Amino acid sequence: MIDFEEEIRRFSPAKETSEAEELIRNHDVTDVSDILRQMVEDMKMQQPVASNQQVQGENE
Amino acid sequence: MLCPFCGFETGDLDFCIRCNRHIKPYRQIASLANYYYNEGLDRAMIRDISGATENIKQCLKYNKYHLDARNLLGLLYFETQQYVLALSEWAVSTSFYPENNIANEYLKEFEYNPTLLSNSDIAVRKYNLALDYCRDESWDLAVIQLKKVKDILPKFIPGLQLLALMYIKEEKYDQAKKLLKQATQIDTNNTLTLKYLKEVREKIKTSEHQKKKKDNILSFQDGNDTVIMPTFTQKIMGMGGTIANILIGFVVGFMAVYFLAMPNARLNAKKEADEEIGRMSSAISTKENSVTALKNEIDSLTNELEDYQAKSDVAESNDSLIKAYMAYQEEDSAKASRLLSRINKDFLGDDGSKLYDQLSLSVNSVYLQELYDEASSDFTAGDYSSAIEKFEEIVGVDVYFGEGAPLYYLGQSYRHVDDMDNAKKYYAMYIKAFPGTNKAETAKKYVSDADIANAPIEVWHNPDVVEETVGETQQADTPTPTDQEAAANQAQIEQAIQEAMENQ
Repeated sequence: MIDFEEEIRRFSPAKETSEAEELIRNHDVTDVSDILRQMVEDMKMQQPVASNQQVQGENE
Repeated sequence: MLCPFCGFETGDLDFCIRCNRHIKPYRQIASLANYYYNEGLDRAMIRDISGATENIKQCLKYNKYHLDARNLLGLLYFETQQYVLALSEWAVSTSFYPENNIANEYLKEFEYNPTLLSNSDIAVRKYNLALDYCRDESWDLAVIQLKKVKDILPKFIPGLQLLALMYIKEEKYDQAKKLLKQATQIDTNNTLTLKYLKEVREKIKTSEHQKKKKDNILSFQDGNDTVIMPTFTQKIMGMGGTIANILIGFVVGFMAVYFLAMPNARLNAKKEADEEIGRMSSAISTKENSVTALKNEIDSLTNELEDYQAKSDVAESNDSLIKAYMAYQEEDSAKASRLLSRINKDFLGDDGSKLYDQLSLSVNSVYLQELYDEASSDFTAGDYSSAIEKFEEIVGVDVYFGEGAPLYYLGQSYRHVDDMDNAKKYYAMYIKAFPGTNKAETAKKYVSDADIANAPIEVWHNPDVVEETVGETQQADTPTPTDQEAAANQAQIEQAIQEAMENQ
C-alpha cells in the first residue's frame, strides 16, 4: 500500500541551469583515497606531538 | 597506477619509487572502484540506468579520478534528460582531465544546442512547481504541470513517476500503468517504478475482480433478508450467449436481405427477362417471316422447275412413244418395249395414253411371249440361271403375264438352284394371285400359309380369265392377239400417232 505523503517526500526538486555553477563548485569529489591520505597525514601530525609529550614527561 | 601522493607512475609496484611511500591500500581501493565501474557499465548496457548510476557513484567514491566512470555518469544523467547533472559531471571530468577527454565533446553538445538547456529549465521549473502542488495536496494542478513536463522531457523519469503517482492517487490505474511501462522502457530496473507498477497491477486486479463479482451477482433486500443471485443476463452472456447473438445477427441480416433486397432484385431480373423475351420474340417473328418468304419463293421456284421438267418430260415421253411405235413397226419388240418403259403416261394426252396402252399391249404381248418362250426353253434344258433372269424380266414387266406361269416357273427355277427363300417368295405370290389352280396346289407343298399371306402381290384382277386358263396353264401358253384384233390395234395406233404428232 502506497503512502502518498511518504512517496512524495522521496522526490527532490530538480536542478536548474542557474544552479549548475553552484552545483559544480560544491561538488563533493572526496573519495576514499582522499580520506585515507588524510588519515595518514593526521597520523603523521599526531606522531611528533605524542613524541614531544613523551620527551617532556621524561624530562620532568 | 599513479602514486596518490606524488602522481608518479608506479606500474605494478606496491610502493612509489619516487616518494618511497607504500601504495598497496590505494591500489586495492582503485581495484574496488574498477569493480563498481564494470558493474555499472554492464547495467547501463541493459538500460538499468538507476542501477548503473548507483554503481558508478560508488566507483567515484572510491576513485574520483576515474575518468570513464565520471563520463558514463554524465551520460546516464543525459539519457534521463537530467541535463544539469550531466553538465556538472562532465565539467568536473574536464577539470580533472582537460585534454584527451571525450567530456569536452559532450559539453559541446550543449553549446551547439542551446534550446536543450532552456527547454530543460522550463520543464524543471514545472516539475518543481508540481512537486510544490503535491505537497500542498493540489493534485489536479500538479497533474497539469506534470503532463507539460512529460511533453517537454518524455524521458525524465522522476516526472513520469510523480505523474503516475498522481494517477494512482486518482485511481486512474490504466493511465498510471501506461506511464510506468513507458518509464520501464527508459530505465528497466528502477525500483521506484517497479514498486508503483506492482501496486497498480494489484489495484487493477482487485478492481476487475470486484467488477466481475458485481456483474455476476444480483442482490436485493427481501424483508430482513438479503437475497443474492446471479443475474439472468450474466447467464446468457457467456460463450453461448455470444454465439446465440451472432446467430441472431445472421438470421436478422438474412431476413432483411430476403424481404427488402430480394424482391427488388427479383423484380429487376423479371423485368430484364421480359424485355429479353420481347426482343427474342420480335427477332423470332422476323425470322419466321423471312423463312415463310423463303419457303414461298422455294415453292414458286419448285413449281417453275416442275413445270419446266414437265414440259421436258412431255416432249420426251411423246418422243419415246413415237420411237417405240417405229420400233414396233420394224418388229423390234425388245427395243419398243424398252422405249415404252421410259414413257411417263401421266405426261401424255388422252390420245397419247390410248396409243401407249394399245402399243404396250401389242409390244409387251409379243415381246414377253418371245421372252417367255426362251425362258421356257432354258428351263426345259435345265439352264435355270438363264431361265431365272428371263422369268424375272417378264415378272418385272407384267407380274400377271401368262396367267402367272412365269411366276410359278420362277419359283420352280429357284427351287432347282436350291434358293428356297426366293422360291417360296414366288410360289407364295403365285398362290395368292391365282388360288385354286393346279400349279397353286403344287406350289403349296413348298410354302406355309404365313408366306402366302405376306406375299407382296394382290389377287389377280381378272379371275374369269384365270378360270378359263386353269386347264391351259400346264402348257405354259399365253393367248396371243388374233390377227383381226392386231389389225384393229394397228389402225388405232396409227390414228393416235397422227393425232399426237399434230398436238405436238
